[in-house]
Amino acid sequence: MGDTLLPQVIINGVTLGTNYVLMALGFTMIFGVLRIVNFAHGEFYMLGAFFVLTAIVKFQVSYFLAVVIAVISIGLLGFLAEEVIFRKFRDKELEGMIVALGLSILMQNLGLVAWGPYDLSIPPVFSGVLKIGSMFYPVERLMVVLLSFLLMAGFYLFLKKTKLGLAIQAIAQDTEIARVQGMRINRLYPLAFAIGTGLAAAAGSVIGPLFQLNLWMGIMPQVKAFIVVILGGIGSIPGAFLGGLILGVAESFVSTYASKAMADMLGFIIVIGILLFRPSGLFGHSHMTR
Amino acid sequence: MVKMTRFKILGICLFVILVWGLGQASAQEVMKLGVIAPLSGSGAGWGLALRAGAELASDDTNAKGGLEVAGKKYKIEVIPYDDKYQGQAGADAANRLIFMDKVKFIIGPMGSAAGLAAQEITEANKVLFVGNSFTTKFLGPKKLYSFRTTMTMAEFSLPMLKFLKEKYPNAKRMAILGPNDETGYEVSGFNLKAHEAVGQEIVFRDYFERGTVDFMPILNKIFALKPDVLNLDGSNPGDCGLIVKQARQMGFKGLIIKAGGPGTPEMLKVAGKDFMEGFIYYSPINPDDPKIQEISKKYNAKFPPPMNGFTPQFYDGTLWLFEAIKKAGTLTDTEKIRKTLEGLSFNGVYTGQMSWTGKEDYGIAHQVKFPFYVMVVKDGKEVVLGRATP
Repeated sequence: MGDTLLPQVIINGVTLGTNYVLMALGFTMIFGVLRIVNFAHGEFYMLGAFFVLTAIVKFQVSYFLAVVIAVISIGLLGFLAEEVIFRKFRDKELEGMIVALGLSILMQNLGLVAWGPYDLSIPPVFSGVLKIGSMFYPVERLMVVLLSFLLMAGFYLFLKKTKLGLAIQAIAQDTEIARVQGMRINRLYPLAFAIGTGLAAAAGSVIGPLFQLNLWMGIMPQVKAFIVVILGGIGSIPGAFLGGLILGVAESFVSTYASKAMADMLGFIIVIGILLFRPSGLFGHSHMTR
Repeated sequence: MVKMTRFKILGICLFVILVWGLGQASAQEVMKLGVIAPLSGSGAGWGLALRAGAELASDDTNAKGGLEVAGKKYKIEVIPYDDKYQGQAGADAANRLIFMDKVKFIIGPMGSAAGLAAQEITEANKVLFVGNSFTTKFLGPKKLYSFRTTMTMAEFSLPMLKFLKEKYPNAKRMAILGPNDETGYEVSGFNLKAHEAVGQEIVFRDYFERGTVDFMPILNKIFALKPDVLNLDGSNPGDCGLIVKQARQMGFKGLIIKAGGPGTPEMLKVAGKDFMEGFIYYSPINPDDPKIQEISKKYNAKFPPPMNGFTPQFYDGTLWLFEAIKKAGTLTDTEKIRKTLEGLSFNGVYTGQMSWTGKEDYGIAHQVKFPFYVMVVKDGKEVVLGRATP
């Protein structure tokens, strides 16, 4: 196998990893700001893919417009979820986690009513395959990586360069001081939740055309997001970025050279190792990194 | 005044009871038919096909006035339960059907895990179980009430691969990729033996977890071994669609075949017609047959299209069971119905002449056999490549 296989393994891993990063960024931000382990994050991811499908098939819009519609509408849903449900559970990690779990089951079942139990697929968006030496790379996968990096860059710039982004970081660091400084906490919390869920929807929208859609498609990405966040450090944005890429590439290696079952185990072995020897993760902060 | 009111209430009650009684007397009696199938998740396409086959056969029988048993016509009521392609859910469904709904006949399930789990309950309660579970363990000399009315790889793998060997003599290096469960192991085992029997070399044989979406890592490993043929084994249509799409995207030019359950229309939806070009597969039916188009229309009117090839098979399997019940002249003596069914061959509406086999392979002749088609996808259409007989 050797030389020809290696670049393919790495590029598959990066593709996988960028999607993990998108999921993990939203997940870690919601935790960093609201201290809520959002177990419904995978369902916002699932909704992202289904919204894109519905927008394309029912309303005949282009793929890119469908992604924008999906991200904005699911961001709004996230905003509402925070206002209506999670508001009472801010900073209550255990209660918030249980409520999020309930919300995830509710969303899956609402999805069942709306789209039925069968696997669906988004019509192909990008066709063609790039051949670089002996390596094949489908254009649709390249687009996943490009769109993911674009979204990550946008998110990074938002956090670093906008007042809102800085304010969200401030409340993640110290809510009371942020409040004393005059920040409107009750507007920033739902906004942070909206951005987090919007990122999950973006991940689902971007990956949707590659695979099949079903109501349980968010479960595994959410587990991966959880692993990535623990690996990178809970609440750490750079940690989520590096953690996602490390996990993606590591899984690709193990899947190829060992087995898929081993690759799935790998994430959990990493989590156990991290929790035993470096509980604060690679980037070592217990709150969002500045 | 009070007495009058009491009399009135009593009168109304008597009237209601009388009307209800008359209604009951005039209503047609019902025969309950249980269905256990994966109706959600990645196996739902096959599960729906099974349910549709049983329901359409029941609808057509009801349209003729019902199933005649010992001079009386019974309306057939289908009670479906979802087994989620899982063992525990299959056992739960069998328990509910037998102990709550009081059924004596069950069609299904699709999966081996659900089939084996449910069978513990159906056999103990002498309930006739007409299913599809691909595992060899589903049939046996002690499993008197279980029948399989679809063919498994044990029946069609070898004749199909012999046919392909003649058609593509240069295809010599085989890779087998199947799901990591009871069905996958069984199917893979039959395919392995059949490939070896026709003199082909197995260069790769492995399994994936059902629900896997990214097959590129495992396909990388396979294509590094330079196979001529990728056999998708017992993978369900959704997974197969993704494998075909990703394999072609990775530049695989060899044959992709499926000596396993049908599902090409679903695969076409996932992979698209370009990537599906040249895909070869086993099919119990010829989609161009006018009769198949007729049942397809009925299916589309009641269920979400496209119809899967399992539907006509289960339609015929269900009618075969009805024929045995009719001939046995009883709805309760399942021992008598079983014996009648064992001695009955059946001219299926869609599948053709069906008969029992399996004494040698399973120790009991409860396995159906019938001539089948080898199909190929050309320009997004299913085209007959040839016909083979088990």
